[in-house]
Amino acid sequence: MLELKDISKTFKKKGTGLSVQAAKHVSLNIPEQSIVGLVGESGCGKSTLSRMVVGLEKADSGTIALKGKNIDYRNPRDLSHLRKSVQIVFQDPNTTFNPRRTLLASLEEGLVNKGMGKTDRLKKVRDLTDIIGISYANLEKYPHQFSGGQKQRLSIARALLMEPELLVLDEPVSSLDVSVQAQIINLLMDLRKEFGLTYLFISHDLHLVGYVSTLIAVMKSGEIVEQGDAEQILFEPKHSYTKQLFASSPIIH
Amino acid sequence: MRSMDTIRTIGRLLLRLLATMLLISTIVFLLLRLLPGDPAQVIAGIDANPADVENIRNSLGMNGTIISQYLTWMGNIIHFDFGNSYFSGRPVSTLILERLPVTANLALLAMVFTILTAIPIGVLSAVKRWSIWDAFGLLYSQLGMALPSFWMGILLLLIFSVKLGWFPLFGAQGFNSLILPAISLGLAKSAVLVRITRISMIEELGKPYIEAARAKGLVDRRIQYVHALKNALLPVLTVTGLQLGGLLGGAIIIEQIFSLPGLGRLFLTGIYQRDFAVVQGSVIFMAFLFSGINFLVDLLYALINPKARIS
Repeated sequence: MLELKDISKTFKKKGTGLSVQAAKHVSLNIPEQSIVGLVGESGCGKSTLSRMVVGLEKADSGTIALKGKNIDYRNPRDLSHLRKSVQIVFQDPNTTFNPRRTLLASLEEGLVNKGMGKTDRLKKVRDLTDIIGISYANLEKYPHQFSGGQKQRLSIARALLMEPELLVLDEPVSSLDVSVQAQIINLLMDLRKEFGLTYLFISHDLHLVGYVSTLIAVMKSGEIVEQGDAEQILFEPKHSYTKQLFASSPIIH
Repeated sequence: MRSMDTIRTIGRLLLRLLATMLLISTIVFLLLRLLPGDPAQVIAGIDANPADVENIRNSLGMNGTIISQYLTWMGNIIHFDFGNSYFSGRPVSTLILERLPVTANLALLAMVFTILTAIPIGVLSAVKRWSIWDAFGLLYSQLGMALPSFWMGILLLLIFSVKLGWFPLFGAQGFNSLILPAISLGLAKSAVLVRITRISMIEELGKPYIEAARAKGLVDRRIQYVHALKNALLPVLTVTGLQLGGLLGGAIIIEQIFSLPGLGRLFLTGIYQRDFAVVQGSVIFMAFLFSGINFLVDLLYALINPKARIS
C-alpha cells in the first residue's frame, strides 16, 4: 500500500544552530489491509513520520511510494492524489475542528473541495455519521458542544469521508478517558472490516499496539530499531529497547 | 435554544450598559461637588455679589440637599438635559448635537482608514511571515506607534494643504476637509491594529484545525482566508471597538489642529471658559457614546462567536 524508503528529516532550531534528527534513514512497508503499529516514547519521531506520510511535512531525503508509485511532495497533483488515498486522525480532537464552524460545515468541506453536489454531500455525511454513532441532527452544533469521545468519532468520520485506503491514526485515543478509549478502538476495528482499510497506528502504548496490530515497528530517536510480525515482536523481542519498552508497560500478556 | 442564549446574552450586556451609564453619571455628579472650591464662585469671580453667585448656583443645579440635587441631576440626564451653557445660554444638549456630526464623521472615517490599512497589512505580514512584506508591516506599525498624531497632523497639513494645496487648510468644508484629520487620527490606531491582526493570524494559522484542514486536502488560500482569517478577526474586532472609543478622545487634539468645529473643540472651549455645564455634558455624552459603542461591539462579538454566547 505505502512504502517509505530511507526517509530522513532534520529540524533546525532557528538561531541556535541546534538540530534534532526526527527521522534517520527510516524504511517502513505498510502492506494492504494490514495494521502497522508504530511504537516509541514521546519525541522519538513517530508523529513526524506520520505527518510525512500524509504530506503535512516534507522529508529531507528518501522516497514515499503509494501503490508502487513515487510521490513527489512538490507536485500539487501528487499531493492531492496522496490525500485522496491517505487520511489522518489526530491525537487531540478538541483542537482539530474549527471552533466557529458547525460540525456539518467542517465535515462537508472536504467534499465541497472534491466538487461533490449538495445532496450527495449531505447523504454521504448522514450515512457515515450513522455508522460512527453520532446523530445527524447534532451536526448543527459547534465543536465545544461535543464530548472528547464524540469529537474523536467525528474526526474519524471527517477522515473517512475522503474515502481513504490508508488511515493514519496518530495516538487516536491518548487524549480520551479510558472508558471511551475502548469504544473508539472497537469502532476503528469495525470500520476497518467495513471499508477494507489499512491502518498506520501510532502510539506510545505498547499494550494497545500489541492488541490491534498485525505488524509492529519500534522507533527510537528517529530510527526504527525493530520491525516484524506483531506476535514475533510481542513474544520474542530482539532489540534491547523493545524489551525495555515491554518492561515499562504495566500490562503484559 | 440558540435564540434563548442570544436573548440572555443581550440582556446581560444591556444590564451592564445601564450600570455603566449610571456609574458614569454618578461620578461626574460627585466630581463637581467633592472638588474643593465653589464652581459658582469661580464662574462669578471672587468679588461678585452673593446674589449673583446664588443665581449661578441655581443654574448649575447646586442648591438644596445633595440627595435632591442628585435626583434632579439623574432626572435631567434621562431627559438628555445637561443644563445651559453659561456663556451662550443655549442648552448643552443642542450644542453637543450640533457638533456631533463633525466628530462622528471624523471618527468613522478614521476607523475606515484604520481597518482598510491594518487588516490587509497585518494579514500579509502573517501569511508571508519573515519576508520583506512582514518587514514592511512591522516597520509601518513601529512608525505609526512612534509618531504622535498631532505631529502627523501638522506634517500632513504642511505637505498636502500648504505645499500641494490638495486639501483645505482648516474648517469643516465637506468630506475633503476630513481626510487629513482622519489619516492622522487613524494612523496610530492602524499601527496597533496591524500588530493585533498579525499576531492573531499567526496564532490561528498555528492551530491544529488548520493542519486538519490541510490534511483534508483544502488549498492554502482557502485555509488562510476562510478558516484562519475569520477566526483571527475576533480579537481584531474587540480592539477595533475599543479604538473607536479612543478615537473620540484623540479627536479633541486633532480637531484643534485642523480647526474642526467638533465635540472636542466644544469640550476644550468649555474647559478654557470654565463653562461647567458644557464640560459636564460633554464628558457624560462622550462616556455614554464610548459605552454604547462597546455594547455594540460585545453584542457583535457574541453573535459571531458561538463560544462567547454560552459562557
